[in-house]
Amino acid sequence: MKTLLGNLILALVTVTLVSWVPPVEAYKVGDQASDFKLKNIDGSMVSLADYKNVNGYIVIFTCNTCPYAVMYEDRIIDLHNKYAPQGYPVVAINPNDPDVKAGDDFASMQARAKEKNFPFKYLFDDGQKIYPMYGATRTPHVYLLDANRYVRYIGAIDDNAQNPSEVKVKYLENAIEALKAGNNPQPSETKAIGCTIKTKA
Amino acid sequence: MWHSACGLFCGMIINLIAIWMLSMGAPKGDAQTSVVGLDSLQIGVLNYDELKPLLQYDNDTTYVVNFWATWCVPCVKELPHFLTLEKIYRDRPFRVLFVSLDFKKDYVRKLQPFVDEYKMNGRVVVLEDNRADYWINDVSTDWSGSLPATLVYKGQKRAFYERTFHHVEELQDIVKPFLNL
Repeated sequence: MKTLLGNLILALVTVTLVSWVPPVEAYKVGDQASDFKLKNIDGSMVSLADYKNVNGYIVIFTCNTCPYAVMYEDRIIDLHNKYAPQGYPVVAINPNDPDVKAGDDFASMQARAKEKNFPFKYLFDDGQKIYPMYGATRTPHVYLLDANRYVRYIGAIDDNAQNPSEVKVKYLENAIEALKAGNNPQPSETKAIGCTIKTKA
Repeated sequence: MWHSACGLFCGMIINLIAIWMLSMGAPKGDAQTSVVGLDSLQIGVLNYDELKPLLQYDNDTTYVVNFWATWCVPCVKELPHFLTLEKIYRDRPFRVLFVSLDFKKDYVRKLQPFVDEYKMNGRVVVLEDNRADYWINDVSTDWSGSLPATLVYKGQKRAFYERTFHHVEELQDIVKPFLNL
């Protein structure tokens, strides 16, 4: 009887353990981010490893259609122009499913990049495999990585989406400056309002 | 019967008074400034300090607080389900509050006509506060900041959802435990 009960408990525990699948964990500051291979608007496949002599990467999940992403477009261009020469290029990734969000398809990405003359790579997360690995939940959503792809800052670009002239804290620029000085960004995580990443329900 | 009627009625009155007091009684700060000059706007514009009391009434009413914006497509899509929910629980101590995160340039041009069209007057406030990194966490540490997002609470009991609701039944499922149904 005792053995039977023991076996039963063991069986239950086993079932529980086997059926428990760890949820996809979003990257936290300090985690090493995965590299990826995604299609750029010029048709080439791009990985972080392709960038030579960089000190880090400003990975930004963003898109064509979200008003918050659009409000930040010019600032993202400025960030690349300012920091790519210092070894921190912007790597923009559109995580949206174009079947769900018209206007976020590859051709529209190409059109928008041309229209705004994006100086940075604008990649398409085709199949939506990369953004869940990073744990991105909204556009725009920034992951600042160092040269070894360790996540050093996650969150917002600054504290005022609607009015660039009223920005009080440039979170991302402060984080990059901290890395350049060999320090840990403070704060290392911030939150901001943004659009959901569009997926099939 | 009296109890549930009072819950609804009192909740409604408290809410209306609070919104009125908050929108009228704050001579300083962003909220008041943004109302001035927007004469046709009938929606209270609050900063987070002014909104917070609406997120923590301590009574027997169940509050559903939906964070949304007219620019947010999934928000606009799910919004009718919240209006249906109001009708389903009209005889219960139950209230829905819509917190708009619309852009300032859209308050009069887009938000007010939308609120009129959907007959949402009296249950909508605008949250205008640049301290998003602070108040997103204060609403819920589970919230990353994407819209739509929905808070359900009654007294100290709270639940938070950063997701879209596709059917009114999905909303009923999360509200029923609060209404003891």
